[in-house]
Amino acid sequence: MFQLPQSRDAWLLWGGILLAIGLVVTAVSRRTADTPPDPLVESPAPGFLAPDFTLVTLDGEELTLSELRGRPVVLNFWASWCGPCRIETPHFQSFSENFADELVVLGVNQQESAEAITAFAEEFSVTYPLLFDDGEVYQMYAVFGLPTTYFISADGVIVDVIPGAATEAVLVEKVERLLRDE
Amino acid sequence: MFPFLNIGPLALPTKPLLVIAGIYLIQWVVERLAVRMSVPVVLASEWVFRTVIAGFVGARAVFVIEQWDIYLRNPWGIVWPVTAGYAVWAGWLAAGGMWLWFGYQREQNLWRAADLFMPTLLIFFCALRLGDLFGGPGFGAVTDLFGLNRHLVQLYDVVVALIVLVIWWAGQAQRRWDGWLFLVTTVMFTFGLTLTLPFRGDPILIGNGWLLGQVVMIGVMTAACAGLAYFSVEG
Repeated sequence: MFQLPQSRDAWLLWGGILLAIGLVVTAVSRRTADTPPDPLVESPAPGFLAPDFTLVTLDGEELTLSELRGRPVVLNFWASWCGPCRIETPHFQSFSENFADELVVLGVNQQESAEAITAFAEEFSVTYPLLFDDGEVYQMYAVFGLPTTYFISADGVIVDVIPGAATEAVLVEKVERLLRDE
Repeated sequence: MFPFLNIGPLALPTKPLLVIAGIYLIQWVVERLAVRMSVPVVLASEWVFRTVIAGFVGARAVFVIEQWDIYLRNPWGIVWPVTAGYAVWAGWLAAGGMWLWFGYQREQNLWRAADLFMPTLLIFFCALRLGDLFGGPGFGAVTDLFGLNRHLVQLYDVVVALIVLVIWWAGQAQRRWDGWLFLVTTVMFTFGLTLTLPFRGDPILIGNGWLLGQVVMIGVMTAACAGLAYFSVEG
């Protein structure tokens, strides 16, 4: 196919060439103070600004995501009929209690009635805000399955996504990293 | 991008599926390559299996230790299979440790084995990066190239790994001494990653803005080049 270098001299030569190219690329890609920051474009993916929305809570109050800037947000998409959602909810409750001072946990329900959400909240003693969504925010965040959880930094940027159920340990690990980075 | 593969009512998580497919593929590949390298097939297969298991157990164990307070309240969570949480660095260390220990214990030529196992590392790397692309948290730097918002850096990494796989394949017939193929592919792989690392959106920076990954890759590449020059014949 092609001949790879075999002798010492050939490897010294090729090693030198590759090293020189590698060093140039490394020097060029160094992030300096004048490296422009990433523009913040709204998109439901890590590194992008979290798409903004306004939804109504179970208490009837309007809640806008961008108004929560200044504190990290953990945004959990769920439904009461979803098995993994039921398994992870006690973890979210315990997690939200332990991190009540540092961040906000939001549960975005998928197209269920107030009765179903209230029954779910009572069954699992949920105290963090549960929001009604007619599917618009679900589409906006391009959620493919329930549950899905987004981690949003204090400046509104999505930093991580967990597709599928999360345990308290996973939530703590993600959030500790998020809080540390800030 | 596609964190779930939807088959009717089933939503299968893409990344774990790709990782499992990658493990199956490396097992299949190593069994076929072992014969070429004069390594017993059963032994090579067990070697891969133990390395992979050690990697997962190590990654999981360190994660559990890091979050011990929580698992003390919920011991069943330690074996929760869905979104388990892993300390990736510990996984690589544990897998490397097991690989060395198993080979040493079975009195194998580790340099020859390194030649044999290099494709498995590359294939597993491809599975992880594709998993990150489709269902994971990895993302690239901002760009307007080809109408994309972000560089598909995971795909660039996969291309690098595939090119190195081709080099490994071509190098088999040119292999003069044990470890040569491993060192050659290490040089190529680390060089390739040095080129793709700047396209990551979240690189780890060290003093003065240098990218940690690039510094490590340059170091490993230099060491591998020095090894090749040292052990190769003069001429």
